[in-house]
Amino acid sequence: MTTHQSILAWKNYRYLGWFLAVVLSSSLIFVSQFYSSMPAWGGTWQGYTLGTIGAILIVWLTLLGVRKRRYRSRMGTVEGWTSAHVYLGASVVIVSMLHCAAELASLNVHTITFWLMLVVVLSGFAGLYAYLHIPESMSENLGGKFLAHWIAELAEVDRKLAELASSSKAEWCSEILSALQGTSIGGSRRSQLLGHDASVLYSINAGRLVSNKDQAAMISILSRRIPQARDDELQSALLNKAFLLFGNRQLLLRRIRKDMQYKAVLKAWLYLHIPFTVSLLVALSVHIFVIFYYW
Amino acid sequence: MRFLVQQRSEKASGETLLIESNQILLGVNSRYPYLMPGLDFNLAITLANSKRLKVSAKGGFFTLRGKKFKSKTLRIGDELNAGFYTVSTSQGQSPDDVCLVITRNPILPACERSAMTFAQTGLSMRFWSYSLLILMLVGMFLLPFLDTLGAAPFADTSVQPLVPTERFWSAGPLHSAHVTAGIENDCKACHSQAFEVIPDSACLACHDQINEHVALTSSNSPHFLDSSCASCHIEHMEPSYLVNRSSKLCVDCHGKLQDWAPEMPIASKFSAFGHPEFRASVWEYDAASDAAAQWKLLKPASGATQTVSEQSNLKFPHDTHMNAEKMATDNNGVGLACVNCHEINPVDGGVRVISMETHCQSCHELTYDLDDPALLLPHGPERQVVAELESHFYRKSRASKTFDARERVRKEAEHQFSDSGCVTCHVVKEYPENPIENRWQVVPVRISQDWYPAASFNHTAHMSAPGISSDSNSCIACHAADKSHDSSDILMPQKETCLACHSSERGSSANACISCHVFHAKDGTPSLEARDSLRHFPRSAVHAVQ
Repeated sequence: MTTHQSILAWKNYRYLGWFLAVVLSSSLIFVSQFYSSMPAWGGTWQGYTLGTIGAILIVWLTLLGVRKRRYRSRMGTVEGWTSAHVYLGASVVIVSMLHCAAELASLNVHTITFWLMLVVVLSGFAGLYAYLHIPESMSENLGGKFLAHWIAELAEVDRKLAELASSSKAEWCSEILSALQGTSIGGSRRSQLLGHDASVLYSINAGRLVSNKDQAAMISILSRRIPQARDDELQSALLNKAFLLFGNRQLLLRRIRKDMQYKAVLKAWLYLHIPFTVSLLVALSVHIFVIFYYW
Repeated sequence: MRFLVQQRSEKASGETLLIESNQILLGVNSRYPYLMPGLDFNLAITLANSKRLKVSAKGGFFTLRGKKFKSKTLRIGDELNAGFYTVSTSQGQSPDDVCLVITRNPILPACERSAMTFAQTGLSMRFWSYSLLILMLVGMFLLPFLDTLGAAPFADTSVQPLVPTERFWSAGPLHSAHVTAGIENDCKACHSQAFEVIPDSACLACHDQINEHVALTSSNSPHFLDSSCASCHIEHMEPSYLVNRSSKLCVDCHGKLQDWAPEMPIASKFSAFGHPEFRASVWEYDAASDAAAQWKLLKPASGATQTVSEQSNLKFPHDTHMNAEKMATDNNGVGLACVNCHEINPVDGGVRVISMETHCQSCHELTYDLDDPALLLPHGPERQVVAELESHFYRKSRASKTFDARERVRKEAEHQFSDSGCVTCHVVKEYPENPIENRWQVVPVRISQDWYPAASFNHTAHMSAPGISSDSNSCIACHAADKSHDSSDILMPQKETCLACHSSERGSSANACISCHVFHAKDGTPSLEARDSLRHFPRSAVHAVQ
């Protein structure tokens, strides 16, 4: 038996059953309109029923945010709630599409409510994908250790390199120090999401900043310098040490950057999911208010 | 002018370098007198005056009191940061000396230098959520709501396109008829009361000529009590649609009339079995009644099998008129075409009324004196005809003493009324005992203008169908006039003819009840207002009315 079960398969796909039940019953309600004298739209009794189902579902789905924070609550498990959240959240798209009979061509509070719902659900799908695939790769990447461990290790390598730079020739010192100073991780949200590496170093030969992506430029400079310093035993040893340290640094940076990227992906969808959920609740309330206002 | 430069690091202080110049270049360029290893740009520090230094960065920027600069004049005594170096400036012992202390700070780890999480980029979920929330509340609720309250700024047409007005609450497009009427921007034209359904009075304010389908006081009226205009006419649909064409609305009642109106035929759909047989309405002539009540519109009862025949009192053999051999119009040997008499009104596709003067007289000339063929009898009352004959022949007798006017009038009247004039087309009754002016009576004629008055049919629309033209062959496909010898024949197709194209079973278009029948008939019952007022009373009140 596995210790970790997919939230999709929770309790033997219990909420897949709920999803199918909601979708099937909503479809039957919708289809019943074909046998009435009224066209299918939100204003028939079927339309109102589907709208009510959709609204109740949306309000319930937002309660996951409340339940998640009540650590001592015994009302189901958070895993169960999340599984239901995913399945019933997906059903809302179908229920609301049937509710409005796909009359979505104009732009008004009613259709905007639908589009907001769609943003929320689609971002939820993105989040689901992230949560299904990332955690495993993430712990694999960290090798069973915390990120802080790798950051500390990087700081140690940087300290050693800075010290080593002080003892090397001025131009090498300059390049090593500028490589340390020019190393960049993260930055903008886009860089975090893409794991973008904008590292640079000041190349003495070129007389300008060059890309040091993946520390490749520094490693290549060092590998060219080592044979040149064959005659100077001290400098040769320093360069060899620097070469090893930069190799190590490359691996550490990859790991840290990858971790940052994973975390960014795990977080990014929430920046759509949560604010749009809040605005969806407002839009939904306005939608319902307006329907009765123009009863 | 001297610069005294000293480098310091965490561990040690370097020796002081003395440079006699007004400018000092610092950085990574190996030609510069002073190197700052690891800095990825160069700095030029120039003495501006005794108190100020001008600093410019080439290929990068420095920071002064937290702000970034490419070039800046600063006071001696200020401290600037370039990369991981700090450059402190101070006045030396001699007023000509400027001291620069360049400190190499430890390089911050990359992870601490830039944002590693979304939160560190300054994107706050809460801020973003609240901003959207406020945007939604203002844009979707507050502004349109202020508009519904009639807030002044919204009345300005230049403001309207810029802000969400009440129109933003509209669930969909209005029908073009309502857009044209200009009520698109006036929600209250229909939605007169908030939180209340649209009253029929809102519709009737403009549509005051609309008739109710049944009389409120008829036995069927309670069935309509729960309906309103909006029960069938739905606005804001996509695509816009205003008239509910669903036959189910009609069949709701007309499909089960046996429950409450047994005299009416049952129709479930337009098909061989779903629609009752077509029943022609004809005028029945009752010679015994007085003139006002002589004609009655007769419609055979539902399920009646008797053949109905037209009683127009007009003699008209269609087959003869269409026979090319017998008809020699203009001596061209071609018979009459249907459209020669039955003109189609292109506006409504109906058939224009036939008149003697327009359609018959060009052949059936009412000449009565071969000597004077230009003279015609009036197509009018019998006495007028006799009077015309008398006045003509008595005038003629004045010229000839042998001419017996009285006898000539009698003979000509007899000829016209019972031989080959009026009697060709009319039924004429003779009363031999009466004086000549009352001796003959032409039986009144009434031709059915529409045998199926409850249905509408557009000839123009049907003649645009492929294979159909305005020649007689297309007409006789439905109206078997070429085989009709008697004017009592009702030359109307039965439903099978229509079903060849229109049939619910075939899924063809125009099978809805309202494709042929109207709900708000021209001569319906104007009782909407009464119903609107009755809806607010208990149902017992309706029964009391009955």
